[in-house]
Amino acid sequence: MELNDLRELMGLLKDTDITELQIEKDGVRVKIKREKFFSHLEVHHPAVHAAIHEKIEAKEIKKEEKAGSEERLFAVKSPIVGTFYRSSSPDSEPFVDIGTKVKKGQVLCVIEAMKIMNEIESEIDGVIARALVENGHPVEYGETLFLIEPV
Amino acid sequence: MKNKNPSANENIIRLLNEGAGFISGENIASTLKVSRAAVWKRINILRQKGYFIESLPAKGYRLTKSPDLSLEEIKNSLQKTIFKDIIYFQHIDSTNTHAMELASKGFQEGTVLIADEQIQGRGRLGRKWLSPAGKNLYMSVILKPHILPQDAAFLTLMSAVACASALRRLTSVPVSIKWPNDLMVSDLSECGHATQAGRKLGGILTEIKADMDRIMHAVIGIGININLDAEDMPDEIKDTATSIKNESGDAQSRTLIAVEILKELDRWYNILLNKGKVTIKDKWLKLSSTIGRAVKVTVMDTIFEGTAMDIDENGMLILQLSDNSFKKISAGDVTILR
Repeated sequence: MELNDLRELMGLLKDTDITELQIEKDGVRVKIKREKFFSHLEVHHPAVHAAIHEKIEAKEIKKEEKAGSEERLFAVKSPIVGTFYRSSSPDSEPFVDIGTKVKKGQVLCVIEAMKIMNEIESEIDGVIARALVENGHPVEYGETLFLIEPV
Repeated sequence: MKNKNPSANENIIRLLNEGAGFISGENIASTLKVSRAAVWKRINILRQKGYFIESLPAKGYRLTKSPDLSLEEIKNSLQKTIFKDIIYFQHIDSTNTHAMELASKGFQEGTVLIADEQIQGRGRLGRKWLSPAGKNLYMSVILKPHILPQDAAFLTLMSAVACASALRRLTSVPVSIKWPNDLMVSDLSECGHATQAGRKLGGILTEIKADMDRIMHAVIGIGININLDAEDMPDEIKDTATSIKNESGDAQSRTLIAVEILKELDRWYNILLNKGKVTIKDKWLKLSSTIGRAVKVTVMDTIFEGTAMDIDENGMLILQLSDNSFKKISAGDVTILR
């Protein structure tokens, strides 16, 4: 993770209500914590100038996923380590594209490992919001392949 | 005619195969607890299926020749295995496609689909698999293994081990495995230049339906060139493909090969379910023609060249590249260079 990435992350957090963010990528863990101090507090004892540490349960934010609008998206994950294919053969059309309406049980992609072809099906009805892996690229166990907006 | 007794055909073939000579219709009828007329009807059905059954008055029936791919004999030989439900097709689009559909519909583990001909036989990534009638073996088995999805690679490895072991036992052909599960013919002991890369005898295509936690079902598709003649092969595969007959000079019974492969598959599947991953890997390494060789691996548009060192605990091929670094390969086309 580069310094610029960190800056960008902190910038992103500034205008949100998120106070704590933890990201793990390629074995590097980054934790960003912002504490809010209120100068005007409605308290019974005016003498007490307490810094209130607002605690918000940190939401688990997966890599490449941003908070907010994408929170309700459904992540399709790879059950095996292998190679990701968006179509059944190099000559055929991709199973799905961004914007494709999918039904539960519809094939989204194929993951190949040791010549085992694993067809990944959608677990929900929805629309493909993001495709995160390029055709022919390796994927890890549990890696997010698609984000689907439920309907 | 509706088949009221699904195992009647197998039972008659079993009795005919057991007896050395003729067996009377009365004997068959009483053993199977049916009428002599029913036996006569069955015999005629079996004749239509390609069995040559001689009949002599006062002597009875004698089986003189079975069809080259005999569903009844396959069933009779597999009663002690998990493969009890065997479905035969004269033509089918693809045994794997159909088996995946049947598995989704709830067909049991151990269901086998065998076809005489595939109209759309296919291999990895939609590639065509030559599947003419009357020549080769095309079959798919449904398994529902209680193993982790990460261990699915062992389904591939054990299938290759089962096929190579069965073919070596039944024929004189020195079958070896090219990573991960191509069945090849290459003389491992010699360094003859003509055969160093080997010719493909058969392929295995495994398809699974899995989520993060479990494998719902797996279909193992096996295609083996048995009695395919050189003139049956289109130009594009002439130099790279072969068949049992092509190698040994003799035609082989598809029934016997199907039975032997399914028996071996039953055996190795049990080994896998009983935590025998190491046993499978060891046997795979013994039968492999890939390890220790200089290879070229094509992964989509990228080519890696190096020495095939080993497979890891997930079945991935470990390559040592020219800069001595190691690269693990999970999918790709392997060409053996020398």
